[in-house]
Amino acid sequence: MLNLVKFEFARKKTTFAVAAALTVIGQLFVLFKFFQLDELSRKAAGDEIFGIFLGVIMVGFGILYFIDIIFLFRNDLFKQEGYMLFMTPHNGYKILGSKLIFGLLEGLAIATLYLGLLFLNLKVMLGVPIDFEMIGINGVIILTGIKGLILGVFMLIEFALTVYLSFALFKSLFNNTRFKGLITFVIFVVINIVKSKIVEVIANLLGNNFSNVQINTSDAMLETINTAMNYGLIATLLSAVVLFIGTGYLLENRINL
Amino acid sequence: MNNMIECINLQKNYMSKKALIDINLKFQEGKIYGVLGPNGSGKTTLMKVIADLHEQSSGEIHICGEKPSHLTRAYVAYMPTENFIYGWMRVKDAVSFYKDMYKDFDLQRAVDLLKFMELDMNQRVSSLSTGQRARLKITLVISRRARIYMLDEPLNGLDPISRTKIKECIIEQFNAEGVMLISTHLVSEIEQILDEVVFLNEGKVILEGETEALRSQHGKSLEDIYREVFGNA
Repeated sequence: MLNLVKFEFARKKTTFAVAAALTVIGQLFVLFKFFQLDELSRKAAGDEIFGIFLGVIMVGFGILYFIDIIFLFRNDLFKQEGYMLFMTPHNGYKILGSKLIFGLLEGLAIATLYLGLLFLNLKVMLGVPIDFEMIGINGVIILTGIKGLILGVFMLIEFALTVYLSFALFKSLFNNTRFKGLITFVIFVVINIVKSKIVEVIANLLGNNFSNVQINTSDAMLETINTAMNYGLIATLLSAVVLFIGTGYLLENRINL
Repeated sequence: MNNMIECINLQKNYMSKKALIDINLKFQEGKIYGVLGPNGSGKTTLMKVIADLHEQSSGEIHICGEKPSHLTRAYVAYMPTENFIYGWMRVKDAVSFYKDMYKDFDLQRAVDLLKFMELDMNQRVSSLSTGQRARLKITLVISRRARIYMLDEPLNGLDPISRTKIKECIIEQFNAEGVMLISTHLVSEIEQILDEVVFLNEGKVILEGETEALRSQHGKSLEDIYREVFGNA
């Protein structure tokens, strides 16, 4: 298993190097532009940069990361080179598991990098030391943000597992079926509808509970968000386990490469 | 002699097309088998089912008494006809991959074979020529001390020098306690090293037997028998 994870890292080393270089260049460019501005313009530019960080860059990182973890599996299943991996004496669960472990580590690394850049820019642009209390951010909010980011990584991986299951169905049960692409897509849509229905039911149950809570302070609101994220994390993990077992079974027993 | 591979009423369908029809074969240890037939005859499908890359539609396969699974992949060394080595790898990465993944991989043997095949450890796989890729593929597979070797079209698209090198490599490295299946339609190139042959056409076994017996029975070389069989097929 460790060898499989090692292999996933080995094949991504060039991508990581390029991404790291681009990130450093991008960051230096932003700082260079920032310090070219006069004192008055810097405040407005700083706000703009944080707006970009909190919005565009986070979504951008998320999309690139999601595409990356999809291709991590797709390429091995649909390209000839995938034989090299599937000929090894590792069962389907291990192969899938190694990709998930890699995906998770990669996601957490990206999230850490994102947070690191965010705080670095905060520190450089707002001055040292950062007084979070002064700008209305306390420790609980920061922890909630980090938790949200981790939940985001888990949710992306869980969604990726839905795509993995669809790919595995395409290459196994429906491999010898006409319109296998269409059938697999319909199954993908059905899985997502079922998942959203389950989430809706859970949300309704939570909504009933939360309606009793008086959300009239920011602390109460944070507590509510935290509780919702805890439930979200549990639901995501449970769904991921079911999808993992299904996909692993198909890889191990029914695959036609 | 032990049966290393046994196929019983094996069938494989791709939609309405039958790729393997009622295959009953036994491959015994200590022998090199030629799986011969034109393109689309079922050679690759048979190997992929044995290698556990394809699931059979019906029938049974026993590999050293076991059903094909990740467990049998530990002692089946399969060389697909496709370019299966990751293009981003350097030769040394591919060697390292095999060393990490297979307990039976003999690193020293691989290093010696790479030298014999005139391959540079630092070359990127994507920059190798067709002949070099074929030589790398066979080096990796043969460097395993496996019980079962399956080489799918090992001589396809190669220049005469590469062909000679690969044939020499096969003969030198073959283990008498194992079994080797070589699929090809380049019969004349390989017939000297085959102990037994299986002729496949349109998914069916149409002729099988010991190479020498078939030669004396037909009074012809294996290549001429091939022409006779498939000329009429």
